[in-house]
Amino acid sequence: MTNAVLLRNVPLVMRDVSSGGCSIESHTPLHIGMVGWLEVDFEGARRYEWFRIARIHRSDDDVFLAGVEFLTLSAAGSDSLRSAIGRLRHAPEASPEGAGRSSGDLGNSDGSSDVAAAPASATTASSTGKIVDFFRGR
Amino acid sequence: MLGRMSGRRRFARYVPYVPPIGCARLVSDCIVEEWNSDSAVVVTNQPAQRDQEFMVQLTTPTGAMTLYPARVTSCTPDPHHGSMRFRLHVQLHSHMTAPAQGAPRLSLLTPRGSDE
Repeated sequence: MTNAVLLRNVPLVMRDVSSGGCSIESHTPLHIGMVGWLEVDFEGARRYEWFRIARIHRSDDDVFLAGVEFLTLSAAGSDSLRSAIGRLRHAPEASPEGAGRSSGDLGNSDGSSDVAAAPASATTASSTGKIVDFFRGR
Repeated sequence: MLGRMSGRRRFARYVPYVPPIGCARLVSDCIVEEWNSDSAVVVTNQPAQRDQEFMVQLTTPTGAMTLYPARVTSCTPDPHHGSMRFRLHVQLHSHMTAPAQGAPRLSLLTPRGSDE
């Protein structure tokens, strides 16, 4: 017997997003604890993030709404969702192109996302590029 | 479910005017029970449907990672390992080999393309 991993592509729509996670909607069955690599167009660029599904709500028409938390496995690269949200938080006004209303900071923010705006290391950018190239080549 | 949230959020949450479309690459652990040239049997904790497609990522004894496109031909529940698992019979297609040298730690979970 050999250990391996299965990789499966699931189309989705992102409903909302924060520095810590987001809500995604999919017609594919999702389960709490699933781990994956998220890829969405946000703020005019392709953004990426590792995530884990934290909660699931299944609607009557078999649509799965999942609350996912981002996994901070490395510093946020320039093409990560975390860094994009970090830039939004520091912008005087959210860009109308990609982001809509905000729930607002309720005063409980710990400021962790400030780190997300840091430039990506070459290693992170390189590995992400290879992931993108791989899936584009498929 | 959303209605029961307390509202105590750590981060500001943004709702895009146009919900972004994307995809998720779900990663799940599995055990390869059988492996032939064009088919395999893997046991995993996620059920699958017939004709569902995914990739099987293996690390060879030399350390190279190999990706095999696979299609599910059958899925049967397997209750013999404690929690419920599922035995997937899959049909394999031609594989792709990715170099392991210089791979970051995440490479254990990350499908990588060939640099060649």
